[in-house]
Amino acid sequence: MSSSNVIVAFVFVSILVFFGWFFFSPAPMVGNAPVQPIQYSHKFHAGELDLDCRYCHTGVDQGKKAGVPPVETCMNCHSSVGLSKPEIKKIIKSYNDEVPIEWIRIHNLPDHVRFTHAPHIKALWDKKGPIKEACMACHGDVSSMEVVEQKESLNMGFCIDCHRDNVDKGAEITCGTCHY
Amino acid sequence: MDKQGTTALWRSVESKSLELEKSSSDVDAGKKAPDSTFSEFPKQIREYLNSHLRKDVDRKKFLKVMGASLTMAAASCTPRKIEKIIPYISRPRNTIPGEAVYYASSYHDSLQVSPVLVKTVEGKPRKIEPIDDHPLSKGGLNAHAFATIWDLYDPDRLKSPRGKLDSVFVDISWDSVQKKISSILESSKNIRIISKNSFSPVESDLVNKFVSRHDAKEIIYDSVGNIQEIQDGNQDSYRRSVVPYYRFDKADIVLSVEADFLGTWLDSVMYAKQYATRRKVDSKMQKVISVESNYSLTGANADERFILNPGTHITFILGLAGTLLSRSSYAKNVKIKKLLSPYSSSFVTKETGIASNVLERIANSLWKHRRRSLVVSGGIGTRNAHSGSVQVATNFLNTILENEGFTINYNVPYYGEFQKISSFQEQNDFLEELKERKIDTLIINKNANPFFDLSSSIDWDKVLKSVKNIIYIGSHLNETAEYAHFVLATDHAYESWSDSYTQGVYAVTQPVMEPLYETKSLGNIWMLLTDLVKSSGDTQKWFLSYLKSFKKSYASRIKWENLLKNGFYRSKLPKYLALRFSTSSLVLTSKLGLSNPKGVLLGFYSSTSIMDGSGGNISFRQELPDPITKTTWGNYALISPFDAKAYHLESGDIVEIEHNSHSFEIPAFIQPGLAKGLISVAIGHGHSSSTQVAKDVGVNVACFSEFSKTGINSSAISVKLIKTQKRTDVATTQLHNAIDDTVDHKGTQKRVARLVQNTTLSNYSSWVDIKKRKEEKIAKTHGKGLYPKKEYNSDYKWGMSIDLNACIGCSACVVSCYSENNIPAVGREEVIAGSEMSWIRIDRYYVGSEDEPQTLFQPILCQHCENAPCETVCPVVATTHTEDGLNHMAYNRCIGTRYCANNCPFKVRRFNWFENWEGKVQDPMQYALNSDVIVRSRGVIEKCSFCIQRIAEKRQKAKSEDRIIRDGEVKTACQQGCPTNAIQFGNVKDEVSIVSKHKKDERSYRILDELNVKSSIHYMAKVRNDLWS
Repeated sequence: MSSSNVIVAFVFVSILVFFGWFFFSPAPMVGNAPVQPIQYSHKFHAGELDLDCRYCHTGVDQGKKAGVPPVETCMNCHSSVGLSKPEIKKIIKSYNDEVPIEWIRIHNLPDHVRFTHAPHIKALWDKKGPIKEACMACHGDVSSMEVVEQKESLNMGFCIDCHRDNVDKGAEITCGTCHY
Repeated sequence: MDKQGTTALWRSVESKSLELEKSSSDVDAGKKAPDSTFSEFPKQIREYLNSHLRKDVDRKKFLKVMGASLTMAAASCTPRKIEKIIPYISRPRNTIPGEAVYYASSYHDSLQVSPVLVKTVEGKPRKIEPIDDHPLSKGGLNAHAFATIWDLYDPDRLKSPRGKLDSVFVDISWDSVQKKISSILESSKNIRIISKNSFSPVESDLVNKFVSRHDAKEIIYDSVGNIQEIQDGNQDSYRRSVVPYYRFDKADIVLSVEADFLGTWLDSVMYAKQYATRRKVDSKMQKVISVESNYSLTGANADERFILNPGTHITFILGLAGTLLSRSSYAKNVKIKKLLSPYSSSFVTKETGIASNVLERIANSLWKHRRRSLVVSGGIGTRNAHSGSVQVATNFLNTILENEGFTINYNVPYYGEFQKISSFQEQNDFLEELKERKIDTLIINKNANPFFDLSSSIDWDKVLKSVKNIIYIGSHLNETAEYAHFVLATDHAYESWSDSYTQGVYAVTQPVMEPLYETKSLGNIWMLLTDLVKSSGDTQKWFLSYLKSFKKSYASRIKWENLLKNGFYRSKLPKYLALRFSTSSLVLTSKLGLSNPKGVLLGFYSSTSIMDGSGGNISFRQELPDPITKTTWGNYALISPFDAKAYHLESGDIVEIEHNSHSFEIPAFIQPGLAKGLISVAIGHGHSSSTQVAKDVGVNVACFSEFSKTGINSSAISVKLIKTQKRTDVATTQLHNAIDDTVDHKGTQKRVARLVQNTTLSNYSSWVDIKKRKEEKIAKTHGKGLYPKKEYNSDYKWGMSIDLNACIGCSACVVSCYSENNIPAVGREEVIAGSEMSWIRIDRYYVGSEDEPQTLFQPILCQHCENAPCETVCPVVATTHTEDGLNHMAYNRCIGTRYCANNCPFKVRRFNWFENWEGKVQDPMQYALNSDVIVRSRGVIEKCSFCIQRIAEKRQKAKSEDRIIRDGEVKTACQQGCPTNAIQFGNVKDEVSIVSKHKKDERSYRILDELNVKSSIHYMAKVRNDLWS
């Protein structure tokens, strides 16, 4: 094989690998399930106990952010429940020492994108079932997860697909809807 | 105005011949400008870029580095950086994470009180907004107030109390500083306090308590002279040393003698609001006459402006009074007749340069509207050797016109009810005491800076070094503070409790955040110094309870909680008490008016951006172009075109100004419309203290004013002007981003002349006819266009209207926009290179001759054209049109070709030549950034977005409430910033919205409409009142 053929073959393979990787590889953050400072179980609280998502994520239907609850919210129950468990002790220590818990962000949108929770909750929730039906569209069924992981890519294609399907309900697909 | 209904406009002395030649000759209009005067980039951009780029990187090296970085990019496919979410321990009630909370407060310094609404996000103030229902300002703020947010996060702020050890400051604790100071105070016999004037009754009360406990004395000075001139004059004429409450909205005719009431004089925001209410085009339209030697914002907006010889203010005012004397109630007063007899019209004309028929006309109109007229004078440009003398003359004229009680109210004064500025005799005594070393402890109160502000008739360096103990109380280490032995660091207004009182309105300043550093509020510090607080524990609490009880004397009828919620309390206006003008005060004044200064005279002015210089460490204020000169970063010796010719000067030539063995060098700047013989220089520049931004920008000239025990002359100082061989670049923005006058679809239109449409009240109806005919003609030329007509399927189509009749060019909108949209300040060099980043700029045009030009202002921002020329040329579709009529910019798409900027006829797109934020933000400046707006990086075009983040916020709110956005719900930052409501924003699809109504107004027009770009902004033509009725 002449050296020029080697180069051509190399370039061809490189291009093939690049495009294959570009189009078919999973989004890098899907499946991201970092170990959190507190081994909090959504499966138990949101699943078995069936707490409303908004009990902790209070701002989700009113503003931009869903928000992580202040440790005070945990203390509503855990001032009297499960006091002997090691994870609960961490919470009580955080509360008493006034040192906040540093959670690791899982669902993180890229820069240059704006996302507000409230209108999405309103559009996705028919108010008949529990609110988690609305949350599931982007977050998956968190109430069945022991450790929360990212289920959807949350990339532009993911957003646009849903917006295109819901144009008649007022979803917009101009750039300025999210990029400002 | 020609037959076409247009006037010839020009932008600067340097470009005038070029501009006027073009617009007067139809034949040459197709030609290009001979050099790059009006091009997108200044000539020197290439050298500039070369000097800023790294020289050691040649092309080969670049490719090598690029190759390496590609490899690294491929290797770095690791997950993103871990971000943490840190929630509250217990969240404050009624807060939603990420949503803004607003607190009503009031910001006050020595110049004015600004009622502010502080927008806080997650516990940190982010933006200053106006209080719309405030009884005085009615929702207006000035550039100064908007900029206070950057003052809060200034990295140069004092972070803890300090003590001097071997002439170096070291941080010490409050406990130890308190102990040391109290032992100093106990052993001191002669304590003096020097302060600037204050609008806070509680702070003033606490200082008074200290004064009586320690048998001290407080010296209060006025850094600009706005207040003191009036206070001293009123003391002489009425025995009432207060500054009254002026009612410009009640006056049919206003005569301003050097008082810049729309820009820098007293409560200018409220006056601007009042002025705007009387600018409606009808028979009740107010007439504003400005007589001045400097070119102020008020002069620029006045219906008629007359140029006064420098330092002849008294002569002019008494000349008017003399003309009216025979008709007034003083007609038979022999004493006054004798005093005014030398002021014949020929004498007045000779001295002041105002023609006798003009004098006669002004006098007649004032007389015709007596009780509904208003004469104001003052400011730094009228300060002479006898403080208050100009005000006495003004008082006499207002008395003749019977204005007191109608347009001037002394019952609820602007200043002077709980505090008085020390007379010059007292100030002089203090300086003498200092010189004679009689003072053992000097306390410098609340950022006072006598070293910088006051005259150099004493050697401050020597004198301050000789004082045994100097205690400085303030937020920044200024020139005077460098001499202190102890420094007590104060909170910013948004971190502390305080109050303010002016014109019958009491307001509380409330903290909206915990102090960032080890600082205490001013009231707190004075309580500590006076030993009102024994424990050194939570002193903040002590002061708060003191304030709560103190408030009763000003606002007893309102509950504390409501006072905090509203932000202000207005007590009922007391019944009006008539004042009696004391004719004896006229004796001295009438003598002063007879001998006027001659020759080359130096006068000062305070600029809208820097004022007295106390906020000079804010880069955004330094970069804000002065409304008239359009200069930034430093001060210049303004000189009239006539004098410039005589001295062979051009803008940028450095001149030496000499006065009594002192001299300073400063670049000259030719200012059309300035009085002949006057050199006008802005104060507040030339800091020498260790602040990063303000240091060595411009020259401090305040020390050249002539201080005496009767007054301070800063309006007409005899000097010598010497031209040096040196030159410097002038950081002026007046030719940057100028709308091109050379290209046109037919090559025969006069573009610039039609940008700022303006007419006079007498020509108004014929102007409307001409305008209608022209618009029809232009509409006919609009073909179908290459692109399909834009359909707007959304519920909204956003539009804006800008009333040029109300716009005074004050530039508050510019600062508000900077703060809302994270626009960077780029610094002096880059301004010279033409890369300032402002999204909204105020174009200033001159009309008429160089010696007596009129001024027109026009705010220019992205016009959000329906047929936008920028959109069609973007190769990556980074700028697109949205369904609701916005010309939208997706920064992450932009690759920086700058085609759009080149194709924009309005020149509103800005390119990030350098990284303006990354790596340049010092802690805690990042908190001043608006988290709702992206920070743009290098290589990206940016421009006005019509505050899309505010639209999105309201749209989402409306959606969740199943309605559409109401008219007036979305307010852009510039609209909020406007003190005269000139800018309105809203939905054009809504037939009853304000913008829709303005769109249909007969004054309304779109700029460059002949290009068929269909802009979304409607301007409303400026109408000047030229009728003498």
